[in-house]
Amino acid sequence: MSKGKLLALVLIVAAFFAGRYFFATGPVQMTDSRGGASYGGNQEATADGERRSGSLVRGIHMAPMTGQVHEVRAGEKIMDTVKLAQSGDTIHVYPGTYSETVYIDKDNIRLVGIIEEGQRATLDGKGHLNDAILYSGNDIVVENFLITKYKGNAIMGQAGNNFEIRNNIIVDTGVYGIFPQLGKNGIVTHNVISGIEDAAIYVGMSDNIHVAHNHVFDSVAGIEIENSRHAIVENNFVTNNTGGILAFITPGLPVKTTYDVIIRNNFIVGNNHKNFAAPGSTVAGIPPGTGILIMAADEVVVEGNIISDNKTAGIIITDHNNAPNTTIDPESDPAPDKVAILDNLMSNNGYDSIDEVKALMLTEFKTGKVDIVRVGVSRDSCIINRHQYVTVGVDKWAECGFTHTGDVLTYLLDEPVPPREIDPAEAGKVAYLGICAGCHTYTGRMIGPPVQVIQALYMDDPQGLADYIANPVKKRDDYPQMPPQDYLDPATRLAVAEYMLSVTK
Amino acid sequence: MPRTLLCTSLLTLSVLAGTVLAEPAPYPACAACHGQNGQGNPDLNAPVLAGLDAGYLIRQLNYYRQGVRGDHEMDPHGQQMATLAKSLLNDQTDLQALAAYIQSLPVPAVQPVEGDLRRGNSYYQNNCGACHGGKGEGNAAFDAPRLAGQHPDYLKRQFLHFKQGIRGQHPKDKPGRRMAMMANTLPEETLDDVIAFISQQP
Amino acid sequence: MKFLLRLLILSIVMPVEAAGQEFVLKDSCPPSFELRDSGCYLVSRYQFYDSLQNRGVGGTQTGLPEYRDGFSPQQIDLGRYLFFDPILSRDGSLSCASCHQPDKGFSDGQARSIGIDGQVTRRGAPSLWNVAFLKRLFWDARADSLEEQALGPLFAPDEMANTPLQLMQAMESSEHYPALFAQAYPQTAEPLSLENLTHALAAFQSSLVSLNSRYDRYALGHHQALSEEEIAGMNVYRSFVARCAECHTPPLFTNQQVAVIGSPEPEGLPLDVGAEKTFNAAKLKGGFKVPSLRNIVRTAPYMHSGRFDSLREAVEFYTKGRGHAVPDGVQMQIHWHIWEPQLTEQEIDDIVTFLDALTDESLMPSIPGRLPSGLAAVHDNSNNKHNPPREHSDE
Repeated sequence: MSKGKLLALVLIVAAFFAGRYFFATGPVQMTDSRGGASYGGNQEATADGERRSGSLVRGIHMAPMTGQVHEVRAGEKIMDTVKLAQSGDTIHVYPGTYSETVYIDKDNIRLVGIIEEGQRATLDGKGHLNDAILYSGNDIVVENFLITKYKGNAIMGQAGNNFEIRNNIIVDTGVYGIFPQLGKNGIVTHNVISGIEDAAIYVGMSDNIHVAHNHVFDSVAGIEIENSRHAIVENNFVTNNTGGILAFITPGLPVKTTYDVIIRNNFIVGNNHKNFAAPGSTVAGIPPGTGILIMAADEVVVEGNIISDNKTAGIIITDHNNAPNTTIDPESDPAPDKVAILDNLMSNNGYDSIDEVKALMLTEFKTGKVDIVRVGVSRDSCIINRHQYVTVGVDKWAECGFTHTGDVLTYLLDEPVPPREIDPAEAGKVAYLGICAGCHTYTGRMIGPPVQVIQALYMDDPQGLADYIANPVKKRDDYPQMPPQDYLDPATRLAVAEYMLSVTK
Repeated sequence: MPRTLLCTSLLTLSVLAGTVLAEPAPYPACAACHGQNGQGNPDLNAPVLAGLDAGYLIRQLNYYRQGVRGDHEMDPHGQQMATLAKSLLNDQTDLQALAAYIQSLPVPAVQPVEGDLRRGNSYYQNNCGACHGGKGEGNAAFDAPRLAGQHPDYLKRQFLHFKQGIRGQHPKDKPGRRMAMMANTLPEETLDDVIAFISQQP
Repeated sequence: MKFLLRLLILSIVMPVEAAGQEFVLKDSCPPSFELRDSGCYLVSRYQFYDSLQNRGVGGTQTGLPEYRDGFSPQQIDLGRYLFFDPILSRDGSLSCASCHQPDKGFSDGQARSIGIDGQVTRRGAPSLWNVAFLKRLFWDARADSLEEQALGPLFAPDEMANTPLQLMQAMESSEHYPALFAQAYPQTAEPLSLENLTHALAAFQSSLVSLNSRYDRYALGHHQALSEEEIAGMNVYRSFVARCAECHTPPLFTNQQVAVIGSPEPEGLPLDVGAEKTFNAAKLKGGFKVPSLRNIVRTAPYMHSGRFDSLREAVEFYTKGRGHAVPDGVQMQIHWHIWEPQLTEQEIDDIVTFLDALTDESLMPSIPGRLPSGLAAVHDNSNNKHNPPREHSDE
């Protein structure tokens, strides 16, 4: 081997390792598919006229992404970066195993897993951690993670609005896979979820929600819309759960209604899994083989689904009084009213139904594989083309006044839920009355000196007062030390100082 | 007027006599009115100086020299003190030493005055104590002088001066302006009770 | 500690109204309330947040539910006097404050409260902090308003044991109350009425607001307000394993629902059916209103009849198995969130640690130094009313 060849070989090897090194540590260039250009389509397709626009909901309007991009790599803690992150920041989590609970009590944070050659950032609860990701802020994105073996939930939202949970793979995370609760305006799309002992996707007490393109299987409940309004569940693949898609009112919750839910274009196939829910949970009462279950929810529209091979029934509509495991709630109407069953492909459901359903069928002198079962009160419900289904309890339903839901693309809001900000014009007053007034009265001594004295001391120096409250020092032997008010941001501190110096009673 | 004359002549005498004393050089001049031990002299309207915070003393002396205090026609005693300060003190005077000496003098007992002490206490604590301290001991952190041990007449006169715009109006006198603001918050009918309360403080 | 300090300061500093002196009701609002159109309106940073369906439940930055405010300063102040005045009870031995003591979180430290003649009542006195936000009152949710609630203890034979007739006679013949009611209800034909009395009590209780704890500072964005241990506790608390936050939901730390949790009665006592009776619903047997956890460290013992002496025991209850304390043969529809979370000892400790961060008594009202009835205050000495009342007083 000549020296030249040897050198070339060395260089090639070096370049190879350098390249590996580079790929392993350099930031990945992420293309955000929610924005950007759409494929224009082949021109021939539009030659004969206007093409209808698509119905794929890709994302929601959120606060602008203004901040920096942080990177978290294997061996680091995601939470350390979340603590540093500011509103508007994005956190890229690189492949590796992370065993922690990530909680986000901030607004506008995007937590994005980086997938490299199929390898995902994996959150592993190792069977002892409670929840994987818990957020309470607005405008939170969680995407591209693999989450497994948590005791509670994989992704749980507590009153965060404008959320996007997408492209996650969730395997065996205990109670719920994805559980946005008490939020408004959010999407749950393109997630793959299995092995959940309650609902794989559980939208609880939320408004304006879009659940689409998810694959949920091997769980007790596939997708559950509970005590929520204005929700669309579409294009999901729901298979081998105990119950496929549920629209519920659960009694005893502070939000009392479920209405305006569209369940359309889903595959709801073979949901015959043994019920392995925790005893006492609402879903523990679901008979295996339930395609869709509508309990007490109003204005639920079922359209365009493929519902097949669910052994108890394709669709069960029930009130609270006929549902096991539910309490009562004087404030919730127990009846599912204004349910609308439109065209669906239903096949081979109810082939091994439960005794209660068989008994109901006998009352109508029916036998065979049942598609639709209604039990209990249901007012003003309707159905079209009922002749194609085997039904119990819907013979008297009216013909629907509509045949499809095509005019409703989404219930997501045109504008995001506005940020939770204290009006700057009010910030001083609010902080003064909410915080200062607990220790300072205008005249007279309380815990701290009277406001009049403070006004005299800082008569023309609001900034001095603002600085003082952030870092108070003890100046009076017979008064307790004032606690620092540094949790107020500098602008609020100045506002409250100005307000305090201006009040007159 | 006779008193002023008397005081001035006494001062002049003592200064001229050139008595050698242990105190800082200018003090004997002060003592002529404020007493050998800084105990003041109500008959001369000269307040107690003993035990007052050095910072406060220096500030007030400078105010007198600079026309910040004692410049108001309704304040004859202040004018008198201003005249003296201007003549007795100059830039070379060691005010630090003088003030430190006066601060070190023991606070004299003051004859308590009668009043509704409960009411006085209440108003004092609610309005004054935050700066002047719960027992009128003063608090340098707020430039608030000691009140306990001061002659009640002087306290009342100064308070009314603050309230009436005679003292605490000069832009350079920030602590005075603060006090003027506070003086406007205290109902005048409670003043005697507050002063009675202060006069009871050790 | 802070409270003690405050009492100390108040007792040193504040004057007691001299005997015989006329009472004048305050014309300014309590702290954190703004005077507008002669009513006192709460001002809180939480008012700038939304909450789903305006229900006032959610996460960290969530709006408050509907609440009571707008009472006049005089009505609130009159309510304060009434609250501490034993004239409200049949024999002058009990005031509202006997069972709702300010220094015990407006509860009384008893498992079950003690009414007239030492009678032990069925349930513990609930805290009064943040009652302005509650839609339903009493453990079994049987009252819809504070006014309706007040009628309960006033006339219950085992509580204050009064009668409307006797109560109003006592008020009318008292030296000061007719004038005070006239101050508080100047535009009404009959200021001194039972209706106005309960209204004034409601006014005062609505001023007992606690929304400025260290937890609140965290929630409002200052994440240094809580220690690492407290944050760990908060995360267990709101996890879907412990599920505390599902019913004790921020910002009030109650979702205001009735829940059947199957907690045990004290030894030897029969089962209390709770809300079953209120709603005539067997499925609510043993159901009680979810209590707020704000200032919870002040209000031991815990549960509706005080079975648990410590907060830790109360938390531990939820880990011991669904329905484990339900008496044999009793059918109870135990709440779905009661399960077997298998919390570790450390996690239980962490929850207890976190609950301490919900303490805020900064809007503690002052206690009247002298009562319009001329009676001595009894609330600190409900077992021995011969002790002299502690000297408190007003601004």
